[in-house]
Amino acid sequence: MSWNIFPDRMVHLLEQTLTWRSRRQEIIAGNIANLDTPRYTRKELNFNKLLTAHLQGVPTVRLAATHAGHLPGKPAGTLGAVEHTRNSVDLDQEMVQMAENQLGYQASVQMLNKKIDQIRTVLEGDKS
Amino acid sequence: MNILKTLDICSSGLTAQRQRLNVIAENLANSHTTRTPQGGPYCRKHVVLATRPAEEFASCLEDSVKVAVTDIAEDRQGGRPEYDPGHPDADDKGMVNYPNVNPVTEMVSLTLASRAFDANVSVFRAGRAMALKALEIGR
Repeated sequence: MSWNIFPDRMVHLLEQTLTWRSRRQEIIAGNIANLDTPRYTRKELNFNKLLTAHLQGVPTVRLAATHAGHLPGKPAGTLGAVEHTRNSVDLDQEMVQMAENQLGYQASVQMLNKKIDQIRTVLEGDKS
Repeated sequence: MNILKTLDICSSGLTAQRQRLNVIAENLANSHTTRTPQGGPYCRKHVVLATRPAEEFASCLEDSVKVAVTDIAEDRQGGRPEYDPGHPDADDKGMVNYPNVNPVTEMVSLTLASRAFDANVSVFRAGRAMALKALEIGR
């Protein structure tokens, strides 16, 4: 019997969001660390684009598995979502993006907690 | 782990900026040094920064990159001749070749380096806050 504890794909989406957010944080950290590196151009993880692509369920290309022993391989994840802008690093811009990213991360964690709380309430029933 | 990589990248930035501060301090301290073991006046030094792959065996084509000091190079401009006939290192025309250190330039670089250091500290704090928040999941 397939019993899905999370009827909607919410938890999965939140989990994905957290992964992207931390990836984005990493890229912002790289940009800021290279503030003074000559000829370094800033990189950007377009979060909105990733989210839209995820929600619309972008078709992914898979290799045909003609044998039971064929392994599917690792999903692409954030591959190709990082854009190389040709601009130099602007500290203010990076700081704003980082703050936004951090808030988004905290919001996702909070949402995830609420979701888990809901499930816990259901599991524990009316205890009072 | 992802978040720890962020902290690692920040620390590379902190190290690079600190090294830059050291070199600026050296330049300022030696702004009037006329004698060095190599002979001649002190030469102003520059820090050359370059990107490094975020993980030991990853390539530089990866998305996130650390920073590192690759070289501490000497300034290509010559010394700053000044008329000071009483100085023991003055030549027969009374000119002393002082180092080409401009305190104003150094102070500006100092401010830039310290701001960049602050920026890296902020990123570190944000990364740590995110990691702590992630620990709250399901609590």
